[in-house]
Amino acid sequence: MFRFNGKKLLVSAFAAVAVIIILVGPIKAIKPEGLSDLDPKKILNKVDDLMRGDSSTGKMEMIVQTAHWKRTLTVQFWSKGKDKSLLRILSPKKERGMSTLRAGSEIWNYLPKVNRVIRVPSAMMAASWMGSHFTNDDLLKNSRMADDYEVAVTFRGKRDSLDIIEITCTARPDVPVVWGKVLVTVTDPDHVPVLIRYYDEDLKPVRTMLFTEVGVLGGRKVPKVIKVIPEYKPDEYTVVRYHEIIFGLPLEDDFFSIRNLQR
Amino acid sequence: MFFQYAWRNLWRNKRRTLIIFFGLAVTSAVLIVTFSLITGMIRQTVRSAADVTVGEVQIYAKDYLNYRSFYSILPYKPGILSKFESSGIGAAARIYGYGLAASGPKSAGVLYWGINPGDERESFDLYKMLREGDFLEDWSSGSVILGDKLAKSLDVRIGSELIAVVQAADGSLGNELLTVTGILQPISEKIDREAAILHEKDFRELFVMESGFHEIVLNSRGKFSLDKLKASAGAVIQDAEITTWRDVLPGLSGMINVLNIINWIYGAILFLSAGLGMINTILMSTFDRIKEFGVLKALGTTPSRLTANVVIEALVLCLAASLAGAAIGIPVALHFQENGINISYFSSGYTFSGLAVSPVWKAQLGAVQILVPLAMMWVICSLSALYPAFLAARMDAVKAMTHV
Repeated sequence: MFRFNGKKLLVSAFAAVAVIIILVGPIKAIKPEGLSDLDPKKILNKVDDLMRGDSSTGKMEMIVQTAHWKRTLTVQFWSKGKDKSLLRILSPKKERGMSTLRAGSEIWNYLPKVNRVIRVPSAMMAASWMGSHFTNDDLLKNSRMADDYEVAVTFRGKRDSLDIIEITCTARPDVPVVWGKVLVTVTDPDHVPVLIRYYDEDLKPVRTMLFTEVGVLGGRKVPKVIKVIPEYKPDEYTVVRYHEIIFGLPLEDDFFSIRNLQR
Repeated sequence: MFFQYAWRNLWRNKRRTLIIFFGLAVTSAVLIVTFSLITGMIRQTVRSAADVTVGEVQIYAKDYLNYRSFYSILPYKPGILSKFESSGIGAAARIYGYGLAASGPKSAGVLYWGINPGDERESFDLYKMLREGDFLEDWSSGSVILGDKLAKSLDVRIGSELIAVVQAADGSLGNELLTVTGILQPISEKIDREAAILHEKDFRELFVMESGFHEIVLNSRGKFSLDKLKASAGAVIQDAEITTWRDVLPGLSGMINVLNIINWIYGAILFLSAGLGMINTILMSTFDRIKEFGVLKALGTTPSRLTANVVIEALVLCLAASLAGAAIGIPVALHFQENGINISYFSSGYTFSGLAVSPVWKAQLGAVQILVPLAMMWVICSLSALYPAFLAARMDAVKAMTHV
């Protein structure tokens, strides 16, 4: 006949709980594999500096597709450090010789047809550069994700057969930045960008940058093709294809001057 | 006979009658002038908007107003504007595109306009709104007219060079050198800050735009109602969005509705006070004549006849006062219609719902501005006389005759 023994029951219950804690505790204490050894800021700096070096030059082709037209520009570019760059359009004929200079926080355009240089006002920073889906502000690239956003690795693993690391960058309340959130996906372990998705202050996606055709240019492993797709017009895009890049060439500061812009 | 009797009774107490007479006359005159001034202000503001650029009715491609896309255009058919003009409706077609304007180290985002100067001169007053310089010629000349604040922010003068840079219709970067030939007076916030007006041909070359328009504006200068203009527009151009100035300037439309209400409230307050004065006068007159009313009733005068006597007295006084008031108010209102009140002594200029309005405030006098205040006064006076008339009619004849 069964007799209820309260003392034995209580001891059994305590023992069961102890077993559970012993078994489950270590499982929960184990961190997701590999995230702890990742430095998201280092990865983001690498992405920000991908096409820069101390100095660089190269040629690229930019294809812009909109709802109303499609155009292809060939552009030669030079850059030095983080705040100097010069872009010159080589073709088509109508825009040949048009150039854009970024020096510090200002952008200047040279128009060979009228032989004049104009400064792009700050009110036009959000405007398109040469009709593309890049803005003048993209050219300025004043912000650095590692410095201006709260960053954290939010995923590491396989996605679409590719080993990737995903880093979420959230805007800091005290830093004026264009985007509310930026999602950066890079390959693992090379940290070559695969995708960057930009969100506005309401955390709605605004545009996506896709990085493809990873290859070696100028001695670096870089994506040769960057495609920008606006969320609000998914049929439109801008594709930049790098044909050649040389890193580390000697460039003087006065190369990035208004006088040189007009040459 | 009623009127003679009423008129005689009114002058039995000259001082009292004269006081209320002048009060009513001045009230009528003030209301005629005030109605005219407020009507004039409303008209001036609406005409400032409609006659300068906005027009009374606007026609756009469907969806243009939602996104202001450069590519949402009205297909232009030759002769389309003349269909409106043959009905006495002025019409002009315009094209718009955003871009950059630079002069020296200064640059600004602007809205370029492409216009036909001849059509604009015929139907709108934009060409009269120049602070400096000249309006566009009838031919393409590389000239540009700038808004007031835009010219200041770019620090340009007549003859200055302006670099225009735009995203052209084919995706290329359009750029041209223009010459500033005109600077506008303050018109509206939007025009002042961002308008850069070109000849249509210069615009098309800059923007690589072969054909089509973004906007057709109609202006009859008040000759036709908005409904009639909308109907005319719909008959000529199908499958388009047709709006009126009230739709494109909702703030102004709302303010004008408020002004009209204020006009009526102001009139009601003035006449209420006049009516109270009238009640007092007629009441005093009635009390003075209690014995007389008693005798009249004893002789067989009916209550309705007595009521009529009192009310007619009020109306006669009112009529005389209103004629006097009109005799004062109409010339004053005409003077303000002709010369206006120059408020630039108090302010260099003012805006009304974002639109710059002339500092000379002109009245508008018409039949409505005369008859409505007078009719309001007659109604108030009639109502004011009812209570004393009622008292007179209800009097007991014997008690009235023996009243001390």
